[in-house]
Parts: sequence; structure tokens; C-alpha cells
Amino acid sequence: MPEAVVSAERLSKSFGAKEVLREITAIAEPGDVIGVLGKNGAGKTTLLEVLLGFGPPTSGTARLFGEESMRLSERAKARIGFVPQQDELIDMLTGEQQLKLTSVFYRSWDRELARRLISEWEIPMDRTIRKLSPGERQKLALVLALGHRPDLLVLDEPVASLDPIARRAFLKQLLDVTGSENRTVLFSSHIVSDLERAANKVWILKHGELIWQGELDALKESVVRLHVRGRRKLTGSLGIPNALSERVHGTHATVAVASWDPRDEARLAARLDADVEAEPLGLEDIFVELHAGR
Amino acid sequence: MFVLNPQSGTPIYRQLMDQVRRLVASGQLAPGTPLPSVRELALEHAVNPMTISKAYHLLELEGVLVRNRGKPMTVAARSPRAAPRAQRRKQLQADIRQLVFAARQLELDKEDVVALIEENWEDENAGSGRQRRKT
Amino acid sequence: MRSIAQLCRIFCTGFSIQRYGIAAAGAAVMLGTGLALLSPPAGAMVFSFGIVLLGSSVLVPAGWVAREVSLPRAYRFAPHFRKKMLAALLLVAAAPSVPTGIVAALAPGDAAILPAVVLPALLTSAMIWVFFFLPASMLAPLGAIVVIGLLRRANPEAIPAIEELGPEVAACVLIAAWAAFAAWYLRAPRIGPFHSRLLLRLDRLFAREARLPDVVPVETSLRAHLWPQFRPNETWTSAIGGGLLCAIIAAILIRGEAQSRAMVALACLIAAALAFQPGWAAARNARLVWLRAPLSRIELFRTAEAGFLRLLAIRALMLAIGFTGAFVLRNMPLAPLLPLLAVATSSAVLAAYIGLGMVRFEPWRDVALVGAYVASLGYGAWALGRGESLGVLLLVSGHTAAAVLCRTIAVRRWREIDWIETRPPRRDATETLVKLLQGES
Repeated sequence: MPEAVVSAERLSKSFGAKEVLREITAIAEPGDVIGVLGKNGAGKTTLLEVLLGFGPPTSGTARLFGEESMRLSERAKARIGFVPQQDELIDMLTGEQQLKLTSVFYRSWDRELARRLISEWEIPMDRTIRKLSPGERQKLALVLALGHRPDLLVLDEPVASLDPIARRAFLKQLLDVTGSENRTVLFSSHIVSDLERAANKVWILKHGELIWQGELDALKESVVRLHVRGRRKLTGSLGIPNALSERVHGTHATVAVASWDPRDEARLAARLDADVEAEPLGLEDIFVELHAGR
Repeated sequence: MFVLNPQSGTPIYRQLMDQVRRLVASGQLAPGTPLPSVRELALEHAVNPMTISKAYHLLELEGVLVRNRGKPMTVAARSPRAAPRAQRRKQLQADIRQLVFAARQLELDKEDVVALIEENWEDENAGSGRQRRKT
Repeated sequence: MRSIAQLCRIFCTGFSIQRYGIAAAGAAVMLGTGLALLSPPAGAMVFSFGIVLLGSSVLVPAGWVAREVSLPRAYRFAPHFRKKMLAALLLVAAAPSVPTGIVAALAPGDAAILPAVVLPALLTSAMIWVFFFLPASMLAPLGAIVVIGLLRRANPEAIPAIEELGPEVAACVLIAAWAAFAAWYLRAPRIGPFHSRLLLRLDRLFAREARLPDVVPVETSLRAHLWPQFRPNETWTSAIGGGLLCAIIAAILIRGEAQSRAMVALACLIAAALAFQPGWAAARNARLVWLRAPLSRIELFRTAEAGFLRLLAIRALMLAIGFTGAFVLRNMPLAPLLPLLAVATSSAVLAAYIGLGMVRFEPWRDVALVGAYVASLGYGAWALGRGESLGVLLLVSGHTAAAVLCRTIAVRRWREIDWIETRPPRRDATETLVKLLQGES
């Protein structure tokens, strides 16, 4: 079993009375591309930051490359690249100066890669950072995180300020960089379609709890929307286990369920005396259904 | 060659596998044809290469594709009709269910659907010049 | 109406340091009232210290906060944004006049009301404007002192003193000044961070341009991240050059009287207290290098401390040369200079360690610390003005002991510093203000 790149064990984080993360247990293995999905305020940024050691967990442990996050060694830090949600660039410097100042910290800095990305993404390097647009700042922050070829890349809403073309270009670059080597990527995003393309695993956060952790493909096969067409009028609750939401109109009903097993279809059809059809859902619909009701 | 929709409820690897199987079964991918590399396909569609590689791997296990060391994967040498009819029918199952569902919503009955199928079949046959089969 | 009140609140309490100051002032006022029962003079002193602390906490940053909030151009689209800001500023400027006016009205005898109303308003308006227009430059505090000195040096016959003119004229001048400010503020397309070209050039003189060499040493990069507003390569030679320049300017401004000695002392001490801000900022900006620099939290503290002490030493050298040169040029005795420099140094070092340690807010402890520090500054100015060498000695040793204590506190706090809660200050202050404003308008 390969050593986990990222590991959280019963990780909790509270700020005073406010509990932001609750008993999160999750791991990321080398080569995973994990999408962290959750509503605003679900705790995505806090989770990423605690995993990276920016702050101590209130209880539980956070580890990167087997080391405790608050006490990362030089070796571990050299293998990590991070793009925060609010870029941490120094306004007063030019892009060129910021690049120089950052590259100094890393022995494995790849100048060629940095130059290539800068020219592909057309980032103006001789203007002060204060004068760059939010998209250009985001791209610069990405270059700073990718330049030393980290084994673990953590991105917090990395494409929020980019236009669709730039987003697609970034995604391709990301997949190029991670696909060829055994790199691990952990990224949080609102843009579900990007997650669907790039991620092979998802972590879904709801109110600080991890309600799903696993392969994206398995998630899509597990959460389905059942279309029930009864021969008689359907009343009351249909009593389908693991139902997330239920809408009944006369003889038709639409029920979203989690942990669906296709073999249950026949049994359910017989019990309800109806036609049952399982419609697979895209990630966005899955996300909406998982949040329905509560 | 392939149409991949990441937003669909069907996982990407499944979509790719279904499409490869169909193209092989219909003869459009002849035995020995090389398939695009994992990296090429992943970059073209901007999807995770692991998804493509998973699809290829499962197809290799099924015997549809053959792995060649150092060279791209190729279609296995088997006759296009080698898969039993029952298996081929099963592959069409999902599409048929969608068709039936849509028809029910439009409140069309079975006769309407069959007539539509026959119409479209004629057009297909005219285009590809294949023999008509009983449905 | 509510949004204007909200804005006033922001100006007066927008920064946590303002809130601390107000809390400490409240404590001092209560203490003074209590003490007055036992010993009126001591009680009165503590009471008035509290009032002064309250006034300065609220007013000193208000102009600066107002400018920061006016900066983003997007707010031009918020309905009546500039008008509301102006109204709030006026309220803040006029606020101190209310209690003094009431006191003057109720006081027995023939106390004139108008001076009691006009004078505080004049002082607060001046303070607001000085900080509103304070250019973004590290020479700014020095510049402020130069301006004040020049004003005092103005030829007395040419410009009659305000006391001679009388409160009526002063009131008219004040109203005219506000009208001019209002006219400019409401119409200016951009309220910039004011860059004075002269100051920018002087900045470059004092610290060479940040033209980084091809191979930047890691310490330079660390320093650049911890204190982004300071040029990363201030050197000793620039300190000497700057010091000589300071000497010439100071020689022109100092009048060589005892009064001016106390003023100089106060100015130096206020400048020394500003050493708090870089310490406070370093604690937050260290977040930027946590993942990049191969240093543990304690090692980061030591780096920040070393960098900071180096910066302080360079600045101290500059000031020492400046004042010594000035005194020498004016043939003034150098004896009073030594205690001044000693107190200024100890105050700056203590302020720095207090700042470095403020990573986690423990309200009571921090308020007590800041209150005690400000009190010590007041005592220092008094002792220096009166030439009390024993008092100065006590103060310097007291500061040193406190600095050691604060350092221990800072080290303990840095071990568990939580950068999720304490973020770099640049965006933090204005963004929370922005959110508050957008909620209202």
C-alpha cells in the first residue's frame, strides 16, 4: 500500500465557538487528482489550510508525506505547491521580481518550465503586480506554484478569476503536468465541470463534515435519480432506503437516492407495482441532491 | 473519433468503453488499428488521463484491445461479428431505455416508436448500404 | 443615516489597535476618577492621560482609515458613497468639541464657549488631514515632523498667531478649509495613495532601488516577504547618507530651546512607537513564507527578529547621525542627546517585540501592555523635557526588562501561530471595511 501523500485523521478545527471542520478522516494517495466540493462556508479552504500546516487542528491529526503538518521538514515543503484563494503576491514588485524572490527558495526550480508557462499564458512580467488584472495575478500565482515541479499541488479555487479559454488551458496544463508523473493534486472548486474532467476522486464537504470520499466514477454510479411510474396513484412516502429527495405527482414520482444498487430495481418495481427507471446524474445534480432537504 | 461528455451521469471511462466497443463491433475500428495514446486523448478532451487509461485497461481485459510494448494500443484481431448477439443486444439496452422513456413522456405508443425506427432504419441503410435486418 | 453612523464607527474602531486604545483609555479614566478621591493631582493626571489616549486612538488613524476606504474606485458607484464618507469625517472631527463645549457652558464663571468648541475641532481636523494625505513613504513620519517644525519656524510677524486672531477667525478658517476639502473630495476622480514624487526620490536615495541581483540571497527574499513595504536592501551606507541629510534638515528646524527639546523628544518617541507596526506585520506576513521557506515556526520568528533588529539598527544609526549632526551644526550641547537616543531606542525595541507578539488576541493582557507602554512614553517625554537623568535611566531599564518579557511571550505565541486566523494585513483591513460598507449601501 503506497504511503499516503495527504492524510487527515479525525481532523477537527474550531475558531472559538464556531466549529468549521468536524472529525474529517481522509487520505490522498500518490497520483490522485482529488476535487474538493462544497458550498461556500462548508470549510473547503480551512481544510486545505489545516492540511498544509497554516494552523493547528483543534483535535485530530493532519499529515503530509507522513510528517505532521505543523512541523513540516524542508524536504516536505520543497515537494509542495500551493495556490491560495486570495493570491499572496507582493503588490509593489514586478512579476519578474516576484518570480526571482520565490524561485530562490527551491532547489528544483525549473526555469524553462516557468518561462514556457509565462509565454503561453501571456503574463506581463515587467508591470507591477498591483497593475495586473485578477486573471493575470491568478496565472502568475499558478506559475509560482508549478515552477518547482511539486509532488503535491494544492489549489484553492484556482480558476475562479480565469475566463473559459484560460481555464481550459490551465486544466490541460494541469493534466499534462500530473498525468505523466505520479503527482498528487488536491483542488477545491465551485466549477463542477472542471472537477468532472480532471478529478478521479472527490471529497464532498457539507457543514464541515466529509459526506463522501471516493472515486468520482463510483459516486456517479451510486447516486441516481429514480423515475417511478405507477399504475395506481402513489401516495405518501415511497419508503425507498437512502432517499435524498422525493417528489410525487399523482402516478409519477422522482426520487434521488444514494448508494443505489441496480439489482434493487426489479424488487422495487414489484413492491411499488410500478415502472422504475434509474437515471444517472452528473456531478452538479448529485451535488444539489446531496444538499436537498437539509 | 470519440465524443466524451464529462457532465453526463455516465462516467467518462464507461462512455469511452461503450464507444470503442461499438466501433469495433461495427467494423469501423478494424483489427490492428492503433488507438490514440492515453496522453493524446486526455489532452484533446481535457480529461484526467487516468480515466482514459482505466478504460483502455478494462478493454484490454475484455480482449477488445491489445497492449503493445512501446507502441500505442491496437484493436484486437477478432471478427467484427464475433461477439454473440445477446451481448450486442445488451450494449444497446441503455439507449433503448432512454428512447422508451422519451416516447412515454411524449405520450407516443409502441406503434409510433416502431414506425419511427423503421423510417430511420431506411435512411441509415441508404447511407451505409448494409442489409436490412428484422427487428 | 445608519450607514453614516456605521462609517464613523469604522473610522474610530476599524483597527484592533484602536479598540485596544479605547479600552485602555476607558480603564485609565475610571482609574483616574477613583484615584482622584485619594489624591486629586495623581487622579487628574491619570484621568487626562486616559482622555488623551482615547482621543489619539480614535483620531490618529481615522484620517488614514478614511483614505484607505476611499481608495477603491468601485465605490464611486455605491449610492452617495462620498457624501456619506464626508459626513462621517465631519462628525468625527466635530465629536471632541461636544464635551468640551458642554463643559465650558456648564462651568461657573465667564468661560467663553467658542474657543472651547473651535480649538478641539481645529486640532482634530488637522490630525485627520495630516493622516489622510500622509504619503505612502517610509519617510512619512519624518516628513510630518518636518512640516510641523517648518510651521513653527514661520516668521511670527508675517503670520499672526492663531491666539491673537481670535476664535471667530479660526472658526471661519476651519469652515473654509472643510469646504475646500469637501469640494475636492466629492469630485476627485481618484483618491490615490498619495505618492509624493519628491518623497519617492528620497526613498530611493535612502534605500537603493529594489533591482534584485540575478542570484538573490534567501535572507533578502525572506525580508522582502516579511516587510513588503520596505525595500529589501536597505544598507548601512544608505543609513549614513540619510543620516547626514537628516542632520542638515534638523539643523535648520531646531530652534535650540528647551521647549523644542521636549517636542523633539515627543516626536522621536512617537516615531519609536511606530516600530510596533512592522513587528505586527511580520507576524502576519510570515504566512507568505511558511510553505516556501524551509524554516520552522520558531526559526521564522528568529529570522523576523534578526531582520527587524537589523532594520532598527540602520534606522537608529541614521537618526543618531542626523541629530548629532544637527546639534553640532547649531553648536548645541550634546549632553541631552544621549538620553534621548537611549529612550528612543529602548522604546522602539519594546514596541517591536510587542508587535511581534501580537499574533493572538488576549484582550486583557494586550490592553494592559499597550496601556503601560503608552504611559511609559508619556513619562519619557516628561523626563527628557525636564532633564531627569534618573528617571530616564529607570525608564530605559524598565523598557529593556519589558522587552525581554515580551520576547518570551512572542516566542511562545509563534510556536502555535495560526495563520488561518491571522492573515497578512494588506487585504484584511480594507476588505472587512469593504464588506461592511457594501452591506449598508
